[in-house]
Amino acid sequence: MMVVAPARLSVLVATFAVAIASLQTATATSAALSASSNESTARNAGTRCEFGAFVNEVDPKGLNVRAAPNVSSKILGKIPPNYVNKKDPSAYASRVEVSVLSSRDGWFLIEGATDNEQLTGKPPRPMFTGQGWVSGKKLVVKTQASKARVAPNPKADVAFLVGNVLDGDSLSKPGYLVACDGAWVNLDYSLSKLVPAELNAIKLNPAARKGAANGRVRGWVTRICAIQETSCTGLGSIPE
Amino acid sequence: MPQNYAFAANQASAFRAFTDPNDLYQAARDFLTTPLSSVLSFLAPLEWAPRWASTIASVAPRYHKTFHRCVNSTLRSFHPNVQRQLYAVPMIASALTAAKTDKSDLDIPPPIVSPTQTYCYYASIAETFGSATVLSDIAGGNIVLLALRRTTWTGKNRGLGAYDDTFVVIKGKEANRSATAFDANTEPSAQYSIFADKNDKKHYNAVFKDVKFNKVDGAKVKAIGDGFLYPGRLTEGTYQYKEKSHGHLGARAFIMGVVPTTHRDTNGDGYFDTSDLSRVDLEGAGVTMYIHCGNDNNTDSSGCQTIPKKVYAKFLKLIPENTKFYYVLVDVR
Repeated sequence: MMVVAPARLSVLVATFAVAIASLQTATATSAALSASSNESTARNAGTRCEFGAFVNEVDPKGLNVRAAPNVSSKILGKIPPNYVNKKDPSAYASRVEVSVLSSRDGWFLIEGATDNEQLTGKPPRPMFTGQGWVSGKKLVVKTQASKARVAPNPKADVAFLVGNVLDGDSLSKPGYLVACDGAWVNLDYSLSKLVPAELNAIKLNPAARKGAANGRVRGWVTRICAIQETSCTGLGSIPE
Repeated sequence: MPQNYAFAANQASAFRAFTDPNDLYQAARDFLTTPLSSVLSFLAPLEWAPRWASTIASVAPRYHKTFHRCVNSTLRSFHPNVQRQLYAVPMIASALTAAKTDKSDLDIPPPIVSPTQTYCYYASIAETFGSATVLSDIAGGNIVLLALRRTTWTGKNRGLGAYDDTFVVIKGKEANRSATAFDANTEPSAQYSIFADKNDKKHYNAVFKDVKFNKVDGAKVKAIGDGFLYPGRLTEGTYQYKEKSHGHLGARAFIMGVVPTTHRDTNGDGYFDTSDLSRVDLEGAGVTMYIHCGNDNNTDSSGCQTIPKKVYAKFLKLIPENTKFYYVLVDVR
């Protein structure tokens, strides 16, 4: 039988008390972490996606990145507008590039915003680079898809044939993003900017007008190319 | 007197009829037009060898191979009997057969000083290494774009690529013939290679330590099955390009009509060669190997065919909008 001296007993009791206190602290920390995690989960709720997009913002004040997918949530930071070369304003306006993680209600959770130094020819501008939500109306993509479908599935009905017209900067302008699912993006696209030959090439299915405003169409596309300065050269085997 | 004639001053040959001494196509036509043997075919064996010797003697040696190519191209518009007669002469058969595959004069062109010399040299290359449709397009004066590729390590110039290939716009007929050369790039650069991404421990290859890595682009290789994206390069061959709707980065650009074959750098050494296992990719590139404008100090290519910004406007000026044309890509080194 182990005999414990009173002095040592008091040390043990004190140690036990410290351990209890530590446990309580740990529990509190865990609770705090859990709350933080819940908040994080709330922020991340939505359909998971994985593709690169470009921010199409012409407002000199830039684009607000928010803590939640709505206009009343906290502003976490800003992304600057399209970069315009003042010496040559007619040249291509380089857009900030972002990675898209999920979407909800027309909003997209993004991260890693950065300038394309190759196109701007300058060091990156300061901007918010963490995770946050932006409206899909401020995002564009380049896609090398030849068709858009009514659902994010290569077996779904074709909404419209796009040829290669969406893999171009000037034609990505009239489009914006509605939702995403994995590497698929639901585009809302204005037909008003197309010339007749392109309109003929697009070959619309009536299903493409579902959910879209007058003069616009919607469809799901994949083969997203996240490189602004050149085309992607390995998307041809991705089922579309 | 024009400088640097393709032909020596010996113009005494009785059958010499061409008026532009630099025009090797005309020389080929003159050589092949044989009034005697066309009527009296039994004279052919006696006629061809001395005609060949005499014509070759009048062509500057540095243009012999161009002349051989011009004869091969021009032969197609002559009666098959002429070809049979020529190939019955060993000296001629040997020269013309070799000219069909010989690339030894393509890397460094002979000194070219006249527009006619330029045209003969480049058009004969496009006709020799392009498909049959290229031949008829050149004959018809339609635009053909020739690309001479000098293999470059993808990590060159910190992985930003190099304009060390040559584009040649060949167009027009007779007096309006022209061949205009531009510096160009036909290969991907390591800035887009998975092997240059220092954060990818599995693939990173230290030979790319100086590369200014940008983003990963490429295609998955089924036979390897690891799901990673391997860089690709357009293979030598003839492709048809057309105007790309709404261009690229605000400038006109060109897109392919069909999916080409590419080679993938599967061993990650920055070269596209036989040491790359499972390198042939028949579909991964889609039609995305565009011809487009690059930056002057960066080829902006992950597989596209690009031209520096500073000369791009001049290049476009030679190709009217909405023109379809054949692109003949030849590996010269």
